Amino acid sequence: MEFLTRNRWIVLPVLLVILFILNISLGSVLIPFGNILSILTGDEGTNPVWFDIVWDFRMTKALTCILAGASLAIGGLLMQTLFRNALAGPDVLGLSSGASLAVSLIFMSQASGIQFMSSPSPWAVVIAASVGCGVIFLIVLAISSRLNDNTSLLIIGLMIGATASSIVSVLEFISKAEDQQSFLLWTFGSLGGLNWKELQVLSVALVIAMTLAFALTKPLNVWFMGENYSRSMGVDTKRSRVLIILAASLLTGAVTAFCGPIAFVGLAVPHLTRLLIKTNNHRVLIPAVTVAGAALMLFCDIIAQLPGTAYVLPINAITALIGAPVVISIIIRAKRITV
Amino acid sequence: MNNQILITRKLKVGYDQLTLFQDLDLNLEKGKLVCFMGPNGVGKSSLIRTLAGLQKPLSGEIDRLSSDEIHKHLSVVLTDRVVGSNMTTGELIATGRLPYLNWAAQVSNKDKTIIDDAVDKMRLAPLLDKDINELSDGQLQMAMIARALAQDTPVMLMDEPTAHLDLNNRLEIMNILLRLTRSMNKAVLVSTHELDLALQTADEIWLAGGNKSILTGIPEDLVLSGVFDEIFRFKGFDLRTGKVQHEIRHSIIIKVSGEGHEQLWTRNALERNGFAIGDEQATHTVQVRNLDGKTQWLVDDSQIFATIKEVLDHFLMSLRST
Repeated sequence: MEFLTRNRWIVLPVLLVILFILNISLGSVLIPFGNILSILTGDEGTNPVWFDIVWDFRMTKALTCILAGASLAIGGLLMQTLFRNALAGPDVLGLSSGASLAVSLIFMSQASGIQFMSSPSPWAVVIAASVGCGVIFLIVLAISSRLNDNTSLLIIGLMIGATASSIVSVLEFISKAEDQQSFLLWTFGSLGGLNWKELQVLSVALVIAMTLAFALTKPLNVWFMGENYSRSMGVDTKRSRVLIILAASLLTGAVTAFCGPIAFVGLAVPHLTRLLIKTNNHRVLIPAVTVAGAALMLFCDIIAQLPGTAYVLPINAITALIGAPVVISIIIRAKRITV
Repeated sequence: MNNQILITRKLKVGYDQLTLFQDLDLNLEKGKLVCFMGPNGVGKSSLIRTLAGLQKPLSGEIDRLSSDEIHKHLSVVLTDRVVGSNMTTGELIATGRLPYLNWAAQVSNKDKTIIDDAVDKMRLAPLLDKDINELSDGQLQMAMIARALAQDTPVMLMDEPTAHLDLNNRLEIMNILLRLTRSMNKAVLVSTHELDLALQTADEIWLAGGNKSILTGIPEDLVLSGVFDEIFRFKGFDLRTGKVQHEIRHSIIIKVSGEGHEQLWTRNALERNGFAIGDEQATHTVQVRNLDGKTQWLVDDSQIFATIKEVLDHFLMSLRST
């Protein structure tokens, strides 16, 4: 019993494995569990269609869930630690808004007279979103190198986000209904439809950013004490701030580019993880949040695809449905909001 | 003087438009507790931050004689509010080892020994698993000092570590700091407003006052030279006697005799209420005496009282009747 209370983190990987198997087993086509297992071991077996469904559709989607959930969760953790603010998420710097703006330009530019692309391809959307994130990242970086204050940076991030969103609104206002719809679909977020090539790109981004996050364990661990204490312990706060922003941007940017702006996961997962593991040690928090993010995303996706039916709900609606009550409960329960 | 561990030469401290101190030639020595005093806003925190390398000096030099790396030379306890959730006291203290950890923040056995030692020195063992949000102000301050101890530096700089604490905690912290200088040969600099505590514990006092300079010396010399009175402009407090000056409001002069604390506090009560205390020309006498393990107050050799309040009431009453 003591082993369990001490090692509560074990729940997370177990949960991840269970949800992964569930996620692969459930879908609009009913495939018996026994067959799923044999397909996973590489046996093409009784039904080649099932084999394709599991490997080319469900597996890629489940892996996308894992990569996207993990990325957003680490991004959220980094931002909450950086800003010492419990309500910070991976999109506080305005990165998602920047991506939305760039993508909306692709979809809706025809109406405004500037035509970027006649028929938007998936890669065009990915590139546009990356560029949008990248531009916002550079703006935030330029400002953060001049301002040595986290709160100002947070407010500026929110302002940039608001500006980008309002430009999107203007574009929506002047564009045609069908262009609006394809943009709207993108903002719903989507975890399916990534091929193995795209998955590779996403996982490379995640690996780079995670390595960076791990390398930042020391500054992250003392960041809560503030600039002076951190520096007194030999932390180069300026350099660390830039690297934290870089890691978070890479994570958010990559996910937004491939899956659309997925809300709430990055905000909620670090809090859910802290309910389970009471520590500020990022050596423990980063892996825990990674696993928890992946698990939560798999769970949201299972609900979104409405097992047994052909309907798929927008993933963004589901993450918000789960995320919002968490955020509300944290605000109500916490006497003071801390990270 | 090979005990010196931190020396400043012609140090000028301040900000672009504002010079707080200039021409400072200060030094900290191993094994000595220095209390840094001065009125609010004189720049004590700025000097501490400058010595700690957190703020650039306007000019001049600081020689840190033990290590090239500042964070292995000195540790700090600042006034910055530390808020963190989901963190135990033990975890907070362990952050002091940060400068010695590898990139993955892996804590070695040697680190653990040093952390345990810091915890023992600050007597924090019972609080190790407590969330830092549940600590009292005094306990949190002890934990912050333990964190600085865990950083294992020859110099420790502390900015008002006793502020907002009750008398007991203030005393305990000063005593602990004094012990650290003796048992671990640390050089400790403490900025404080606790004049009485500083005078009784410090090996040396840095007194910041006029002319952007800092006077240094042992407490007793500084008190007698009168510089404290000059800088703090005490209102109704005589530092040389260490007492608050009471206005004499009544014509009665009382002679208090007897021994021990009771006699001292009897004087205190009478002075506080505006009675003059004196030997000659005394119009009344109070004799504090001990009978069968019980203290009695004999007034004018005729009336016996059991508490100081009764004595006081007696004199106040007699004032009213005359």
